Amino acid sequence: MCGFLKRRLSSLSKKSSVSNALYALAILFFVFFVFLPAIYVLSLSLNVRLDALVLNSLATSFEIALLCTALSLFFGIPLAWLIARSRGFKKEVLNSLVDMPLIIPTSALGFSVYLFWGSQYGLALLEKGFWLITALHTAFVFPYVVRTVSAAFEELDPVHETAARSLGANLLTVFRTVSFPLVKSSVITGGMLAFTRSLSETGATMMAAGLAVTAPVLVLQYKNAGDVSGAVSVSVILIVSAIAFLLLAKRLAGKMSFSFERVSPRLEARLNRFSPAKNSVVLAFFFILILVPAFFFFIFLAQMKQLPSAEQMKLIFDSLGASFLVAAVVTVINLVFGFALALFIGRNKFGLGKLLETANEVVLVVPTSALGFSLALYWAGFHIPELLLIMLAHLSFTFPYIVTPIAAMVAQLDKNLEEAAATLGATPYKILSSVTMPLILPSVLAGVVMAFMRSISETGATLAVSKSISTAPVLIVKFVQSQQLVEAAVACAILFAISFVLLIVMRRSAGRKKEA
Amino acid sequence: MPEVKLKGVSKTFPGNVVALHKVDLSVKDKDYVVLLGPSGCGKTSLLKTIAGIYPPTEGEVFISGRNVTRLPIEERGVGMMFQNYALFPHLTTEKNVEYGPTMRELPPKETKSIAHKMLQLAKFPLERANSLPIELSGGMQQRVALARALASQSSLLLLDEPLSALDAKIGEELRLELRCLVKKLGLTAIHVTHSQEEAMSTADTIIVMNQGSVMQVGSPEEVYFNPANLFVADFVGEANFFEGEIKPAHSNPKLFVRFLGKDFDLSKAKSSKLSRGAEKVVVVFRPEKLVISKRKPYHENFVHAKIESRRFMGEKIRYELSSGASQIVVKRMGFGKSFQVGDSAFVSFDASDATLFDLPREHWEKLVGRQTV
Ligand SMILES: Nc1ncnc2c1ncn2[C@@H]1O[C@H](COP(=O)(O)OP(=O)(O)OP(=O)(O)O)[C@@H](O)[C@H]1O
Ligand SMILES: [Mg+2]
Repeated sequence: MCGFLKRRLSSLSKKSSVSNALYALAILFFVFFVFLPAIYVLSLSLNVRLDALVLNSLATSFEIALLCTALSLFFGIPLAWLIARSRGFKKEVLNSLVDMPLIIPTSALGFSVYLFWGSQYGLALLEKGFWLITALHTAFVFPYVVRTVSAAFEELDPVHETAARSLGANLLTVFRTVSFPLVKSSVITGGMLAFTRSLSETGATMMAAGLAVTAPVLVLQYKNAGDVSGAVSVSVILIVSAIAFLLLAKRLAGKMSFSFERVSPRLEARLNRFSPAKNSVVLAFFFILILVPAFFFFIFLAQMKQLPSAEQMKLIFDSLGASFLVAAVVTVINLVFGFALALFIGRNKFGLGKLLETANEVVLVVPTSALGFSLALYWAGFHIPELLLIMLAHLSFTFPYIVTPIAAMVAQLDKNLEEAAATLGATPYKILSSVTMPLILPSVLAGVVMAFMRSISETGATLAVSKSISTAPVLIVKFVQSQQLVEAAVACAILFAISFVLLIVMRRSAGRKKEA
Repeated sequence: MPEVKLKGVSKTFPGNVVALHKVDLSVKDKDYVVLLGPSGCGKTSLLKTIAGIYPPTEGEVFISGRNVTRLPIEERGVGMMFQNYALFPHLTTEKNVEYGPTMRELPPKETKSIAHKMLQLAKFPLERANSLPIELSGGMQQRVALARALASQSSLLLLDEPLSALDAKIGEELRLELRCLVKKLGLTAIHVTHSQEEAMSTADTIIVMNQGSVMQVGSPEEVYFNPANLFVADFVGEANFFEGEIKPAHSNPKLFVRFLGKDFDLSKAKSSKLSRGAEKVVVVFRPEKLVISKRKPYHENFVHAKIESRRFMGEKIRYELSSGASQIVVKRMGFGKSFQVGDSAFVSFDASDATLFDLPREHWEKLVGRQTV
């Protein structure tokens, strides 16, 4: 049976009309299920009302995003450098510690950070509001910056640094004149990732917001209050400014250049002596402001020594069931269409690659609560059941996470390999399964893990489209808002544990597939 | 001024990989030294130890009489040209060359003029000075790398396989230019290569390395015609290796050796490397030092042989002959009478062109195997 199917596929794939039909299907899926729903609200731009509340919330969002991005870059680049240049045990420990906050779903992270800074169970230093939100956002965007930049440092050929030193440059000067300029584009990528993630964060922010209102939170407040035109206004402005920011950052990135004369190498040689002190400061920042707050909910749980009632536990497990069901279904569907679209983009068929890539980036930067609200309007006429609507929302915002890494890998793929396979008599299907697939598998797995984790931890879009169903992170937000801290902590712990185990299983299976 | 001295330098990498083993070495001022050896023998490691990139596990490094063993790279002041050049990809040609002077905080004007001068010396077309490295051809990149190393204004130049990324013709041209430039500027150069031809044609002094140790130091002629051991004889150029046996001397002061089925008087052969009382020996001849003739020579130093193959190599013709079970390689100038495959001929030699070594216990087959293939 299976053999028959393969032969059938082989003969089908010879006809380019068949593969073109598959591509067309993927593009249709992307346009009507991912892209248009995400920005549908823009079609209502004419109704936008620009009152002080809307503009203030937008300003608050941008201020927080800028601040936490700047902090993350300031401490994250030296930390990334430290990780990339250390060896052995130290490197492994630092690497896994940096990854840790990425595994905690954002609402759990937000809860934990709130407990640490804002509640009487922790330091009780920060009131709910601007600074607590900033502390929270810094904690959750920091790993994105460090990951992106340290990966770039790792890939750097050390010979350039050695060459610079042999020409008389001290370590600090080498960093400024050679290493840093060479990873510039990754720094910008990391910074943009941090900025857009901060701009879009909703659920965790709601816990920390108090009277301060960020734009994504305001979308939900208006929506819950039944003020559609208000929600439309904030959504439109939020989406437009996020996209404008994306374009602006891309423009700037190309123009930025470095001159190496400006700072005195001798001064830097002297400064270089403080390098150990700098490392301690960076590590202290990482531990005190990122790591400890992120895991504080465990300490809180240990203090409380009590469990939620059976009724509450059932709520928690129901929400977990919904979360994992949504994440699984959405990831599988997106994998099918995302894979096809990634091939299309990576191979730049009909010159449409760039356009679709940009469309994907747009979806990526649209703040999720605005996306969810827009999507709810888009599907409003179809009377879609709530669970399905949640799935549609998750389908939309996780899609780029699958497409982007695969498309990048496909574009990098040595074209000669596929051509070599073709000269050896392989059909397009055979080439895909025996050459292309194995080579891009790591990126496929990376995309799947990323999309799945994003779906598990998402709150903004879910809150924007749901009424009665709660996914796990949404439930955590609700618990915190009604001061059920123990329930929230238990839900966080379970969500974290499951995510952690899943991630390890996925990484393991990825590793094993690589060996095979 | 910059002579380089290594005293007992060893370098061991994790996993007990010995890259350098107790290397003692001294490089004279203004000498063009070529470091020659097979892949993985530790040439790059030696160079990087001198530059300060690898700290030695053991031993000391002196530059101009100063102990620099603990000095970091940036304070050693050596000009290094890297294998594959290591040009900074984000900086233009000009900025690449200005890098060294800028680090010494010379005034911008001087920095620029040094860079231009060095680019000119390296024969880089100045109108391309604003190009990025990827926009340049391999030959041009090589020139930029050279100019950058020169602009450090160090009088010690370290070159790690500077020509390996170029095609043969350009490589040949550039290696002579390189030598001329080094001589013109009065620099000391250490040039790493695994091509014995490159070494022969550029070096004042050749250092032959194998498995982390220095095998021989000498002029190209010395190394070629008077190899210190079987490895050098084998690695540098081609050689004939014949297994022989020393005939008991009785009261005769002469040295008779039996090889190729005959007893020969090798009293005049270079036998200084032979240990006292040795019985089994290896007799080494360079192919150029053997003579083929149709007519029987007037002296006794000849064997009968049959031409097995003939290969035209430009200036020379290379013959392979068989004599009994042995193979003999002879190279002859390409003019004059030539021999055809199947001809029988006499191979004769002058005893003073033979070099004698003790027969090693191991690896002997490999050595002989090489020349019979
Ligand atoms: N950074 C390193 N880490 C571990 N082992 C190394 C390192 N550099 C060199 N080695 C080992 O040391 C030995 C000598 O290497 P080296 O690079 O000096 O050889 P080489 O003579 O320059 O060879 P090639 O001609 O191939 O460049 C090799 O066995 C190599 O594997
Ligand atoms: Mg080397």
